[in-house]
Amino acid sequence: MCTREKTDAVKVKRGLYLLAGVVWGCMLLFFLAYQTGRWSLRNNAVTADGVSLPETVTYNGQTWHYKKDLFVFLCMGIDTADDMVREGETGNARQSDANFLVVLDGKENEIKIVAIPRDTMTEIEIYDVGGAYVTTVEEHFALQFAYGDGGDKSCEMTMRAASRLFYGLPVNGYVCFNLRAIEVLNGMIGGVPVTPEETFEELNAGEQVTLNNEQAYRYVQSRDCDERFSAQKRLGRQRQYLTSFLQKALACTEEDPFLPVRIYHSVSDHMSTDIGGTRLLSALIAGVRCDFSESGFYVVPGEQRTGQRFEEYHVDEEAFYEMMLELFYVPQEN
Amino acid sequence: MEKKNNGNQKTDLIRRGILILAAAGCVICMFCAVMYFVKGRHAGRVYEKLRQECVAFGMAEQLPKADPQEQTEEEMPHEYEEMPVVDFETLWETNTDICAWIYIPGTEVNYPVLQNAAATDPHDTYYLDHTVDRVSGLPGAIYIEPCNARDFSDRNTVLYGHHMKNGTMFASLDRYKDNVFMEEHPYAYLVTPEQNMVYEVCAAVLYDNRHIMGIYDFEQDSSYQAFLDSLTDNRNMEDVFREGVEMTTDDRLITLSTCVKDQDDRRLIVEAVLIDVYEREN
Repeated sequence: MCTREKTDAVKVKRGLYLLAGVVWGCMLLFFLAYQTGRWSLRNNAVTADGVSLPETVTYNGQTWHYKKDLFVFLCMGIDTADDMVREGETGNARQSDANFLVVLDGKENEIKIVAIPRDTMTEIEIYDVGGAYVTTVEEHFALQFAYGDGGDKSCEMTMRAASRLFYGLPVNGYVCFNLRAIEVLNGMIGGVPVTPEETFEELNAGEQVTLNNEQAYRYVQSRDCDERFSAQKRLGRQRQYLTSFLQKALACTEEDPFLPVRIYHSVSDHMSTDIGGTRLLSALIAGVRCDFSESGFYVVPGEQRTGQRFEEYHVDEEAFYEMMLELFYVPQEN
Repeated sequence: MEKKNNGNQKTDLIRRGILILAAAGCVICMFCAVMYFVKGRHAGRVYEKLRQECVAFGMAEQLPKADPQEQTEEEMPHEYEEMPVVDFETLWETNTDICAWIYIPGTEVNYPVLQNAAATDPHDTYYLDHTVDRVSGLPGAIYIEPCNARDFSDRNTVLYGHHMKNGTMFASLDRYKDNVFMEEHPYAYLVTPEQNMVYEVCAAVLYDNRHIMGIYDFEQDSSYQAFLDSLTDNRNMEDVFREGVEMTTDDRLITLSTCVKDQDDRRLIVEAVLIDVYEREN
């Protein structure tokens, strides 16, 4: 054999080894990043007062076990057009008008969304003007955000309030939107189709329409504060929009896998979040593997009542407890 | 060659030293384990002996209600047939600190309740690690603090007991984390030298480890109410509350407090409300 051929053969072999090494290296890095993200999401989960969901619960003679492989994120919609900041001044924050827990169930590969009505009466932390903690009081859930700085602190407080309400459910992260985000998100997937249950402004009841950006904003945000139970009606419209948005987004992602990343970048001015880097990678992978249907949309059960000064939403504790079992526990088979 | 031999000797010595230490360690560990086991068995036997000699079950007496408004004499209802009959004179031969007997049907709770009469500290914990016959170590005894009245006349009396792995002392209170169990086993009987008391179990709460008698003043309605609110505000999935029952500041309570496995900063507290009292004939 000619020496030159031998050298070429050796070179090709080396090249192949190198290529294999690079491919394996990338896969390993990806795997490490994914696992790091998962670990980080779990380790930094927020609970309030050191209480966490128990592993086992017995209810009406049935034993239930806590689901493993859950990620829970709190999404807050703030009624402001200002840019979202990570750090602001105490006392300048708004209220979180829309609050949703997004549950990624890795075992059943389902996304579930639990809406927390803004008027839910629950224990929230109150702080003085200097930002020092005072005590907890029973107040509207939406108000918790206002006791912070409009940035990370507000979001963390609201995560703790959500965890406290949900019996110590660990919350793995938050996403916080202002109103402008709705228009951007709507645009990124080419509009969202809805069929209004009641006539809403120029949209007729029962007629399907694909909302443009400006319509989407009004559909999700508008509330006639003088109308009784207007918050409930708005929640109904938000539920519809969210379901339709998610379904369309998931469908679009199947054809265009980089869509979630593009959405993330385009909406980043109108959004603040603690889910970045490897955490985002893990969350996205967990998310896109899931299905979502309208039956996966829950609302904290309760009753809207007129309080002393404002409307109040009082949780039906028994129904809520059963919803907790349905969402986060698996019945033990005997 | 000399040097190597010395080196070998040194290594030998070190090896022997380590072996001796390890052997000594093993012996000490085994000794402790045996002592723990023996003490536990001994305590178990002592409590069993007291049960056999001093406590009988069945409705031996028909007693009038200790209610001054009711003039008629009334029988103890059939549903309280498990009320124990307790011989305090014989119990006091073992320990005069015994102030009551507690029996909860459906659980393993069937013990004397102690209060350290010699204590100077109102929150004394002598019986946390001394059994009824004053032997030190686990499982201790069921006890109340000196700050509570010996006759259980306080608006809330806290009874403490260990959660033993073998299911003794207050370990079986765990069963009240099942709402069906609470429904089916409502009664806790507390017998003092003067009275037979019937309590209804109405809550099991995975509480934090705050010192209840140290923080709340149950003589003050607002403080008592704050304690009751802290139970309902607790929000733990394992909490159970009896359906249709709300504890109020008009109620007289006992709080049974025990540890939670693997959670040093939590306590399981079981609340029971006084529903009936019968005077004992002496």
